Amino acid sequence: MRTKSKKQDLLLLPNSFKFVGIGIIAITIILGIIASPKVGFNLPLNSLTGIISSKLFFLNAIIVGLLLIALAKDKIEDEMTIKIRFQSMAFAFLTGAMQTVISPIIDRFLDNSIEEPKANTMILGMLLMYLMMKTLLKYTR
Amino acid sequence: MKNTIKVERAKLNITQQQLAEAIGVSRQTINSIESYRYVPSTVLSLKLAAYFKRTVESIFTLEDDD
Repeated sequence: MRTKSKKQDLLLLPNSFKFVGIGIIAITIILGIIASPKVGFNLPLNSLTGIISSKLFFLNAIIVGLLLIALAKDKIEDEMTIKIRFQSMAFAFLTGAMQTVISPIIDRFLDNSIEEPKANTMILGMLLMYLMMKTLLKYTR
Repeated sequence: MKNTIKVERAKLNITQQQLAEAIGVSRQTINSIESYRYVPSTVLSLKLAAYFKRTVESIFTLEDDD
């Protein structure tokens, strides 16, 4: 019986997008520092720089940058890198789930209040865990 | 699982990078296979065997705890 062997190929962005992601993160951090009320200007939210200085914009821009880095291909994608990606994704999912459960408990002890974990904070954590695990597995294999 | 990739590569006097390019994988993958940290897929095992002109069973051997 003849079986078709499919070449394992994830739909990933070209390797150059890794640098685009790093650029977005760098620009966001610089803009965030410049537009910060403590360092720069205290601008109202209805102005462009006011929007940039808002925490939501800052977090979301960082998430976009990390997402581009996460979805960018390595220089050479082979079966081992695909396996590492899946293992890292599983680890990130696990840390996200644990963060959802443990975060309110920590809040209770620290602030004596229970708050739902925010979505963008969780996604940020998961992306960071994914990238950290992927790098760790890649260089310690 | 153990393998004799390093020995076969030494016989042909090629680097890990050269073998990786010939097979179509990264150098890290070849290094991981040689260090027994990664077990290659069937396709990759067959490619390695074909490259070295050996059988898969002569290159890869099962260990007792596999």
